[in-house]
Amino acid sequence: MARRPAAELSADDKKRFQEEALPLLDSLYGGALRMTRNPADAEDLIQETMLRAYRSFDRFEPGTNLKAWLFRIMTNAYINTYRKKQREPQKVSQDEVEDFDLYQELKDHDPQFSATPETIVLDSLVDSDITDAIDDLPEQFRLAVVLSDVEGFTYAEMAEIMDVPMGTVMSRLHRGRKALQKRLWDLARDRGIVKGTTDGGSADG
Amino acid sequence: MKEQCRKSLEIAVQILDGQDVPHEERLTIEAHLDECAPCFERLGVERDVKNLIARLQGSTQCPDHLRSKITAIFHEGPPT
Repeated sequence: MARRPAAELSADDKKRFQEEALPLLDSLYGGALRMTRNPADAEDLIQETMLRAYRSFDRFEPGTNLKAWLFRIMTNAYINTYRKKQREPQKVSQDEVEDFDLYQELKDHDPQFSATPETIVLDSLVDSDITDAIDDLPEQFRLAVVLSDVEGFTYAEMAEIMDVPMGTVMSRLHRGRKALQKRLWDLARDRGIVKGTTDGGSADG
Repeated sequence: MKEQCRKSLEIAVQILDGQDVPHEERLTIEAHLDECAPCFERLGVERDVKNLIARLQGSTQCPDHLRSKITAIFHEGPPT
């Protein structure tokens, strides 16, 4: 990426960047936290992202999605820089992902389960439970779930951001959701939120 | 899970994700969901979990000192 001195950014661009990019900081920081999983690295990543964005803002096409553009820069920066110094995320076994079926678990838990309100057992989980479960996912799954379900990006935008084909986006999202559902379910069980399944040891392998 | 169910659910989730799905395909999926209770309920579970995760949107705030550092870029220009 070319390093451009600040002077090359026109006054208009500078103003536009301030007006449009700064309001996205909360969202970017949330994304950075989920990527790096710790506040210190998230701060570094945000600074790196905003500097890179500032330096290449003249190449941003007005009218296109600025949030997606910034997330793409951030994802690149994360993959190229911060990921290297972090522990390799643990792998999710194929079996774990393919076999887990939250619907079936809910059904087994309560045979009367018939409609969505019953998923309410998961509603008892607090935000930090959800972030813990997301943080526990391997990076590619984590990114897909966060970009889609927290940030609300479309598959096409995610393909741009992660620089992978759309089919890969969909497969990562599918597997990431399954792995996340398993973690949420395990958490609910550990917490006793799901009653009558305290025998433990039955599900994990 | 039957192949028809697996396929239907896959597309139903795409619709849930706001993807464009051709009208005819959408009708086929809706017809399947009307007659297949497990698929209807599975989709409900997917929707519930998606909504649960969406709670995180906007739940984090950029720390003030970081915001100040970023704002400084505009006033002083990026460090060289």
